[in-house]
Amino acid sequence: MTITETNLNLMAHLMRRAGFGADRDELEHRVANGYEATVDELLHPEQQIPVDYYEFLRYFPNWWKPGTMGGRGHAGWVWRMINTRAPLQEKLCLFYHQIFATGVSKVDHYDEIEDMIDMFRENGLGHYKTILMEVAKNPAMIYWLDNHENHATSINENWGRELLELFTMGIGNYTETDVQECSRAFTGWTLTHKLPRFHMGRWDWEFEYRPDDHDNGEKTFLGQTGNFNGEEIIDIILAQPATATFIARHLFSFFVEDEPQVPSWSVTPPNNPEAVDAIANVLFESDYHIGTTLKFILNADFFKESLFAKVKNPTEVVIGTLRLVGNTERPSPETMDWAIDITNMGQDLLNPPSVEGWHTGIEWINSGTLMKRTNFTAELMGDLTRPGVKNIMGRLKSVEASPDAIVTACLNLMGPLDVEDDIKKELIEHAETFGPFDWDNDSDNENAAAVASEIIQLIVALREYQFA
Amino acid sequence: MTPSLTTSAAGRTYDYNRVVGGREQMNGIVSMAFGAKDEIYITQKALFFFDVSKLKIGPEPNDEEMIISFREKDPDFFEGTWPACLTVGPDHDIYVTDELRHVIYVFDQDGVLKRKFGSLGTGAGEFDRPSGIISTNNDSIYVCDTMNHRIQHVTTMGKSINEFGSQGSAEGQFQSPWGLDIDSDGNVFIADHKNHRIQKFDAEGNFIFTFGTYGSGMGELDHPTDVAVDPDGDIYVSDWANNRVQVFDSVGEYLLQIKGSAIELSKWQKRYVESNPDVVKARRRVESLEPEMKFALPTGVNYDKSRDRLFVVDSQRWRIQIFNKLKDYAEAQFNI
Repeated sequence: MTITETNLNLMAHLMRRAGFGADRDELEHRVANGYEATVDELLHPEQQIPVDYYEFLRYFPNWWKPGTMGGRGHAGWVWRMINTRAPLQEKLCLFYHQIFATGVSKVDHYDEIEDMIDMFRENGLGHYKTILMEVAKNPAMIYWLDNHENHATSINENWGRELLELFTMGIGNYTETDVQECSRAFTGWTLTHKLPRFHMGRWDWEFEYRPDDHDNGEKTFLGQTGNFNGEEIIDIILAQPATATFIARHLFSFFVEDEPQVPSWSVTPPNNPEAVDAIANVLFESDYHIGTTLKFILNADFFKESLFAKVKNPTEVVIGTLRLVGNTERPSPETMDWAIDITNMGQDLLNPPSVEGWHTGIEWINSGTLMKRTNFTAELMGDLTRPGVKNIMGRLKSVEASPDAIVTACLNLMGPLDVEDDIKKELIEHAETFGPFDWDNDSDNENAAAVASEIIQLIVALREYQFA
Repeated sequence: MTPSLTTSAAGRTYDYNRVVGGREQMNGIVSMAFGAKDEIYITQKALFFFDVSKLKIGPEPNDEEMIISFREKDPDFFEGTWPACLTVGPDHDIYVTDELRHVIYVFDQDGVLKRKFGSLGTGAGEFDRPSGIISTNNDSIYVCDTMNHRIQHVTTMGKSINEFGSQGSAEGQFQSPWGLDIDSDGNVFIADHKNHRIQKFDAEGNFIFTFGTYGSGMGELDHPTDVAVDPDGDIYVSDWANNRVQVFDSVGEYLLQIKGSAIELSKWQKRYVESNPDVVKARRRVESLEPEMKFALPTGVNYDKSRDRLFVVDSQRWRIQIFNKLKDYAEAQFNI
């Protein structure tokens, strides 16, 4: 396919949403392959060489079953996101982690939450029922929502309530009685005891179903009556159109356009009800097959028209920048710093603030996190030794020497980004302090690269750059 | 299946001897080397510190003590290091590879730094994340130059003697080689980590044979980390991601596997557990203590020629499991 401004913009949009962005070489390669072919490739992570996680463990053995790790327990996942050739697979892990938010602050075992992320990686493009069943049996989730305290003789409603409120239907589509009956159906879904961790390291929790602690009585749930166990409850939930709409809104908010925060969804209609309905319809018809639904979304007009309608989350900022600048692939002490950078921008992965996950969209931004974003990105983009930055400089050398042309090219290579005229004017004025860009000899080359680097650092500080 | 305390095949028997280690003493242990008179040296990559330590492990149970933590002598020096593997030279100096600074450190037996050599690079005598290291009897050492995917043979002063290997999967090539050993004839055995195999070379680096392919079956390997050769020519491989040690004969034929046999706590582990009532209770309420017996990502194998013992660095369990190699073992009568 011919590389035009339109299809380059669209491919950049797709890779920001279904991945962590892409450099210009990759974008041009993907445009040549075609948009639909790229979507298909993203939807088939099994065709890519997987990340060899042992490469990370070889240098950071303590991350095999990480403890509290000074808040760095997610560093292995960060390294995986930097190196993956299947970026949509990792984006889906983020998507599910936002919905099934489970935190080390209570669980106290990063490895158990990592196991949940691994499960998302394995099953993320499959049926949502598989995800729900696996989450219901996941030790981290069981402990996080107290289902090990949910007994036949004394129910604990925490898991049952969140299953309905946050993971499937949303407030307003069920009653308090449904919550109790749902919880009764999940009695006996518990954990084995772990060996203690202190004398020779950590051990796994295992899911255990205890029939003797399960409430075998009749339950009436969402209008149906029977001796339901957990799986039957999930089947009844998935048969509700409200569930499809709720999951559709999550998908829309994560992949298409920022929605209001989840707790307000029961009283605030979607930004684009037609699109959410269309997604819900595909979900319902496909038996909640996420791969099928994502293929629909990524090829839909409402998706293609949603350029820069989302604020980048901190993980997207950090991983996107690292993948762009390059020389970040090896496990190193910097990997730990980058993990903390994501936290400092407001997204402490594997440790969300509550079961509701993070507040997203514009709430990612405040005066502190904006500074963190800008400083992080500007520092890396200003490192002229990074291969990705060198590539950008190489491309700038082929454009006209005028400051105007250089600024236009920088905006193009960093997005492509559209900015208002007065902002572009300011950037050009800064470039003009240097005069025409001359790349002819080493000294000129160095000076031109330094100024171009300054322009790029100014661009990443722009409001426009915070959007995906 | 319950791990066995005694593993036999083809006339060899490996009989569980004991376990040494603990949270404080071996947290993050990566590799070990034998010193003089029942001493061993270990490298550690713990969560917030890196270290090289000297310990005594006597022949009798509980006869073990921590002698020196090199880091405690000079904490600042160990900031920003990644000590990987180590070897003890004929001069009794300790040679330690540093994967972060790309150098070899040489310490005396008391942990005093004597010199260092190497730097980041691809030239002779330069390294990129060096790891496995083994000394010869003639003032030279072999080093796995891991991210240059080659083996370097250098003098104990760091002067290049020879190098062999390049990145790839053909015979004689490597993909991130990690541990290594030499036999009594000077042949060099390499754990070709990301090619999931062991390769044997002569002292000059000429390829002799290879064995192992990726997998979890008998004789297959998953990210092998280290290799050791005993005086009989038997070859031990720490089969990292399969959580086991495999034993091969001198031509690389599979003989047996050991999955760990630590039926008891070490002296230091026992002391910790018994002083923490909650830990005692937590160990009592689990269905089985059997998982504690098994290796978890073993990173090192070392053969003690003086007492015919196999030392396995059981990295994620912060300990070393020790096995006697017996040649005349007879099973107890069936109806005893």
